[in-house]
Amino acid sequence: MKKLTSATSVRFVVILTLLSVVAGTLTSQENEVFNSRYKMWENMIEKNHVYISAYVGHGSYSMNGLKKVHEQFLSLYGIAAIPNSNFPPYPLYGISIARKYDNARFGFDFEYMSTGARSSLADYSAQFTSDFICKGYKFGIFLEKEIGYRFPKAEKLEFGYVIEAGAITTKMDYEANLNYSPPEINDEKLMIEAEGTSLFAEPALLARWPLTRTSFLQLNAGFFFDFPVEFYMTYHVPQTSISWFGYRVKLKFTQRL
Amino acid sequence: MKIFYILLSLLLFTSCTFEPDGLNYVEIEKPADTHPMEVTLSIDRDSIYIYRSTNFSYKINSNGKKLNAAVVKYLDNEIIMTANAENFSFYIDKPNTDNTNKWFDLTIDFYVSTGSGSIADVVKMENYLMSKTWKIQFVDLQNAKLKTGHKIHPDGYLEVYIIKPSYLEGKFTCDNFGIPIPHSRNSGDTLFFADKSYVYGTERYQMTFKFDDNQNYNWYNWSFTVNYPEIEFKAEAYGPDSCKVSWGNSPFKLYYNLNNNLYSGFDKAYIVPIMVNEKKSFNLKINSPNYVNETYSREYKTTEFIQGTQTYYNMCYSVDKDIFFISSNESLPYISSSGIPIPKSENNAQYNSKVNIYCSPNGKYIAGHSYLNIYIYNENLTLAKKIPDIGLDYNYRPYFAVTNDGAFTYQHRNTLHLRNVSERTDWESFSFKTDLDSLYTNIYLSVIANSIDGKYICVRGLNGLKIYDVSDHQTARVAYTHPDKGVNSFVAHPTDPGLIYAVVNGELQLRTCPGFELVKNIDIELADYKIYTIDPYSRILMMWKNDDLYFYDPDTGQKLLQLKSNQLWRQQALLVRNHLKMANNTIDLTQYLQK
Repeated sequence: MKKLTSATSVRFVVILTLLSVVAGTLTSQENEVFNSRYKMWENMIEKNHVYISAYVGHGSYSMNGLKKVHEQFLSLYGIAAIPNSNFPPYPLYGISIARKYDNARFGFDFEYMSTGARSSLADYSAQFTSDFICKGYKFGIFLEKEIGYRFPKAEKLEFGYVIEAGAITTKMDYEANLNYSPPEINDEKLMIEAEGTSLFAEPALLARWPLTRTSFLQLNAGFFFDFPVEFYMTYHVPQTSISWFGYRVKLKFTQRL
Repeated sequence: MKIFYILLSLLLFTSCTFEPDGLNYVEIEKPADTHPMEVTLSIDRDSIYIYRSTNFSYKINSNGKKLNAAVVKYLDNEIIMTANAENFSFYIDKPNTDNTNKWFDLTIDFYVSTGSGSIADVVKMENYLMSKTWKIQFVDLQNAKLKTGHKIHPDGYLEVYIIKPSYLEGKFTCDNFGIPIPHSRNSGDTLFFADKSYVYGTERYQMTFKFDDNQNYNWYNWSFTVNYPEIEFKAEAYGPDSCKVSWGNSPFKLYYNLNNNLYSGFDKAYIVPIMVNEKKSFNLKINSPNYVNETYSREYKTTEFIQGTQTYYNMCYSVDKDIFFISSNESLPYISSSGIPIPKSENNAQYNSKVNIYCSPNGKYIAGHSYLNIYIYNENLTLAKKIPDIGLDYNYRPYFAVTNDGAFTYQHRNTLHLRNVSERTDWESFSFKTDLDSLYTNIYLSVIANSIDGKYICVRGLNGLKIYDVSDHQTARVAYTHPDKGVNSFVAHPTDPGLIYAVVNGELQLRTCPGFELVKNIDIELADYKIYTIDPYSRILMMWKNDDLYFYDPDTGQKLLQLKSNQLWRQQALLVRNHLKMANNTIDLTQYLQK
């Protein structure tokens, strides 16, 4: 058994806690209450309260493993390439669909995120680029719940929290190009692709502003925790892992159908 | 709110997927187009012979630049050396048969870093290229036909040599059936080995090569034969009393030892005195000068010599017909005639007869005898009559003679026998005893003589000399008596029946027969001699004293020749037509008996 690191353990505890909170929210402790919510649920279905959302956001991505791997790759080439980018925070995009019952929304979320890195060097003889591109395809289930607090001067503004968990599929592309200036020397290219899936949890706070009776804007701010995906790229570098851990800020437009 | 929408728009305009961009360009000075370099191969020649799997390395002087790679190419092989290329070495093994013993190229491309520090330089793709080519030939020693040979050193000994292939490093050795032949000298690529024991004949030499690295499995052999002709060892007449023993003319300087130090040295011939009836054997030990003290000689040759012509047969001579009659076959005795030169005995049955034959001076009558039989031949040389069991006792020189009237006279103890071998029928035989000796006394040598006409027989015994008249072939009448014992030998004149040569009181005299009157004294410088015989052809007297033979002209008393013999007085030798016929040989003395 591979020993879990402390960071992984923390993430594991957080994800389980959030899942238990969501589960606890859905659990009735008294039959009367259950019966009341069952009726409300039936009303909601009858009233077709379905919310669809699209959002953009911004996130930071840990990618600590790949950063080390990149350094190792560069040392293999022996070229003193200079970093141009090193897995920077980058926009993310997503859509979700949810239904509301009582004062909570429950739904599914799909999100696309990417980041990458480049180190390069060029002179009269050649140009060298070493690029990583990582793409994350996140599919999760979430629960939004308002906490009922409002500002007196902006009563339309609602606050709450979001708890989301699910799986994230990572696609990693590495490409190194060494293009020589003398045409008689053949260019060199190295491409590596890898893919993996792991579990994640993403808790966030939300602030919602209604635009119309059926639509609103929502700002989420939270953190993304995941189990790092293990990758084996080449025998020249040790096995590494990719983690999308980092902050998430999302602006979400939601339309109630 | 406006700010919010602006931010939202910016996010939407952003590319959905992160795209790395940017390029860090650095200015680096380009290196020079050329760079001086030198390469030395471990076998530093342009054309290289190799003889087995050979390791090559090289030294490159790149003047401060680093060797990135070297690419070795030969035949269908290509070896790329990148890691630690400066210290790399490689082997070239034996190629396939088609490429063995042929030149092929070895090319090495050297890639030397420019040292510019550029990206291409860092990844070793920017290099100075130097290409160099050598010619290689793999010589298959196992099947190589190396030139070998031999010659004679100016000092006179044999040298065998092998021409060593160029640059073949190792040791050549030479042996002669396991006997090592020492290496003597080098001349260029030619290695010489001196066999100072060789004298002649067929010898096989084997050259062996072995590499220097003590790898016992690398042995290569070349064999060849040396064959100088054998030395001809021969003996030939050198005058009538010597022979010349010679042993050819060898190209080598050799040391000879004749008959156990009779002669030893470097000469090619030696003169050896020899007696007329002596058959002498010679042996010659042949050695090179370096081996004269060896117990066993390198070569050993033998020969033998006897003066004149080998004539084991018996013969007689008719002076009137000037012809020789030769006894040929004992079991069926017959004779043949011969002129000059007389035939040489062969090792067959033709001339092995032991029948002693005698003929009359006129050649009309021929008779012979063996131990017990008398043979009488016709004039056509066929056997006419065999008279058995005559019972002769042999002494040293039994007397036999055939006279011109056909009387075969022979002696048995003190009795003389006469047998008719002619066509006459009025007598057959008769015998008479002399009173000059006792019954069993052997009559001394050369003391009986028939006159050639058969009328008289002169006999000398212990009691004196008598001449018998046997002309009627019935009785022996004493015609002359000489009591003086001073007549020690005599011989009838070969052509005049009225004369006789006698040694009287030590003087050679010609006397009449039967009167025994002195005709003349013949003055010769000799004493204590006896008459042996007289040549009816040349009328030269042969006398003997001890073992010496003397040849005198009785007309002048001149000594013509003196020879040594080996107890020839024991034999019935003949001197006929200047030929001295002995038991085993006949010497033609014509050139020495010139009056």
